[in-house]
Amino acid sequence: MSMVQSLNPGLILILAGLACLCLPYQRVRQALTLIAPLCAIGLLATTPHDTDLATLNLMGLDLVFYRVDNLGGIFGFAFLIAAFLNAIYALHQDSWIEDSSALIYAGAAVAACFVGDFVSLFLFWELTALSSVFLILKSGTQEAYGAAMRYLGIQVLSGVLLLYGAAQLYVMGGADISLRALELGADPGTYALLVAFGIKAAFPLLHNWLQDSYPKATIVGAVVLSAFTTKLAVYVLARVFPGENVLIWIGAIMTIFPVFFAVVENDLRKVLAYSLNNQVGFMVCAIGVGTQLAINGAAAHAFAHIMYKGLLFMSMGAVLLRTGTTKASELGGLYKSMPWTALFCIIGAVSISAFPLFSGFIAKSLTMSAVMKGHYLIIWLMLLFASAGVLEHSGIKIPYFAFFGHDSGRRVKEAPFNMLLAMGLASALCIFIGLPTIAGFGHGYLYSLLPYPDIATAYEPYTFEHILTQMQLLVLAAFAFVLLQRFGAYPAEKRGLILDTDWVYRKPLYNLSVWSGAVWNKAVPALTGAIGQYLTGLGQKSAELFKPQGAISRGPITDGMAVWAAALLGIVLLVSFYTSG
Amino acid sequence: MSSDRPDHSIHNGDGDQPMHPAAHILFGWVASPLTKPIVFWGLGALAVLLILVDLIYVRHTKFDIEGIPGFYGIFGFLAFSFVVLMGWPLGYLLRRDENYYEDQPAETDPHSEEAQK
Repeated sequence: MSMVQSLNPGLILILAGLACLCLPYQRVRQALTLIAPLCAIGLLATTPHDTDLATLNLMGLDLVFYRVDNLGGIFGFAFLIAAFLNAIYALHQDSWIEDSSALIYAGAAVAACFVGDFVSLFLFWELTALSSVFLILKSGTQEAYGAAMRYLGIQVLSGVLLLYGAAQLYVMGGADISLRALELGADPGTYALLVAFGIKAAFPLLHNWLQDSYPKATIVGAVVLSAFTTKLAVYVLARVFPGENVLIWIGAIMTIFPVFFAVVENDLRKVLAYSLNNQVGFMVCAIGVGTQLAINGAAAHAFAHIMYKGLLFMSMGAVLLRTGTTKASELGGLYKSMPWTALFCIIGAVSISAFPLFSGFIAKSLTMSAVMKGHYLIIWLMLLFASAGVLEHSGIKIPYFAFFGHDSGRRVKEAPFNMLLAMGLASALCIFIGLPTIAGFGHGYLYSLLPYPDIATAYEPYTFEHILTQMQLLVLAAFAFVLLQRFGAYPAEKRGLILDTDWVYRKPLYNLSVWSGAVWNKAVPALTGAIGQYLTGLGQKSAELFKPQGAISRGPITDGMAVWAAALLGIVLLVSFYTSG
Repeated sequence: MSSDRPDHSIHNGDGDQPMHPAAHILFGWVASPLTKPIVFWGLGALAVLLILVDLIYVRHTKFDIEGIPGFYGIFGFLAFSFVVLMGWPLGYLLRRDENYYEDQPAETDPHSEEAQK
């Protein structure tokens, strides 16, 4: 085995990202951002599966830096494709910090897919947080700064919990820190791990860092962020907690509640962040079901999702670049000036809505079939409800209010060519992996990459029943849209901020800390004042007593005392000298 | 609510950028007065057709409820309508001023071309 083959492909991206930090030449740097993911893909393709390729024993810890299997392979591959498309999307701008941050972030996520132990996972887990925060900070606004700090705090907390869980495993599990399937509750550390993964996957109530930070990232930043963090958490959940029943419910709830927020939200990038949450819910639910079909569903959904969610964020980024806003209330009619962006956005929208012939359909079918086979009726109804919800916020709301709807009168330039190219490639992928398999093309390619390829290739999404039922769901839901529009029952897009769980720490907890800070600032001088006065008084009194002219030094006895003190000191010295000898 | 919107037509829609040539080809049909009724009645007809097919074709079902003809369509219609209609009460309940958190949200993105004009 050659040296090169033992190199984790994520490290190529991380090294390229570090090089970008000190490369002042825009085009050289951008060449690096394009070449690094391609090299990594090439390397990954030639790597043998299921063997430890780079290991290290460090202070009694068995670290596995590089190991490829089907599950990690498909996530890592999807991340690398996303890194490449994102690099194309960023070509119009000269921003070393975004280039570098995006590469290191993508590299950390890729590397995390191929490590074999919890400690190495922790390293790359934290690196994704540290490297990606610059994509939010670079926006340069005050609100972005606040969001970036909250993002960093929450992400680092996730890492700390992961480390705690790993330490527990080390102690309780006889020094075994290998990344493996665990049973929840077998060890207290497993709960810490679940919360750590849950934060990054944006479980319900732990989700709000996502909607808080992604829409405030830079134009390129939001596209980059949408691909990696949550899907890395999905990968790790599939690795560590497959078949864990609690995930079925967490996932199902996760698909439903963001739907309602997405309806009232005005910022379309924030709508996409809620939509991301809802999509990850499908994957988490599938991991909870845990059968081979379901794990295939989670992996296929993650792969397809990385492409179409990136595409949707790209289209909104192009709108933001040209118009300066993504607020639905300020947009509309943009198809007249950005027709290509509109077209690509629609392709992303029909893909995420799971229309037949597009990637969402062949990915979500796996999960829905697995849930049905497990006879989870309530869960299945919840996922079906969420599927109609996806059509509402991502399928219709995003393209309709940005590009059609009420004409805002904005006439801008079409997106830069590089953005259109990235969107075009992402669109092509959404269609390519969604088509029926004909001569090696179509969804058969994606299915062959899944964790259980035999199960996947035996599954046929394009049955008459599947197409009929899915079209029924989508067409009647779309009909509900035009009906509600016609009768004025569709709530108008209004400006405003929608409260979510971040309210808890941004209002009451924040105010509490401000208040306690104020109390502290008042209380400390007051307290130190009272105690200080007492201490000063005591000090002055003792100084009066002991100073050369003080009360103790007065009187005839003084000289004698000095002699006696010297004598006593001499005796103590002699005693200690002989006893120690 | 629409009165407090900034009027972008003054400085943005002054027609200095004519309609994109590709827009005529790709979406020229959108502006046609026939589009709205065609989409409305077309979707309605397609919905009826899909349910009719379901009445004739017998599907294999895993759950009893799924066997109801047109179940997916009816469920999709109701779910979609419920979600949208919930937007009314939720909007009243959850919508606050944009500067609610006093972190000075930017009106236009500082990196956009709009801001650099």
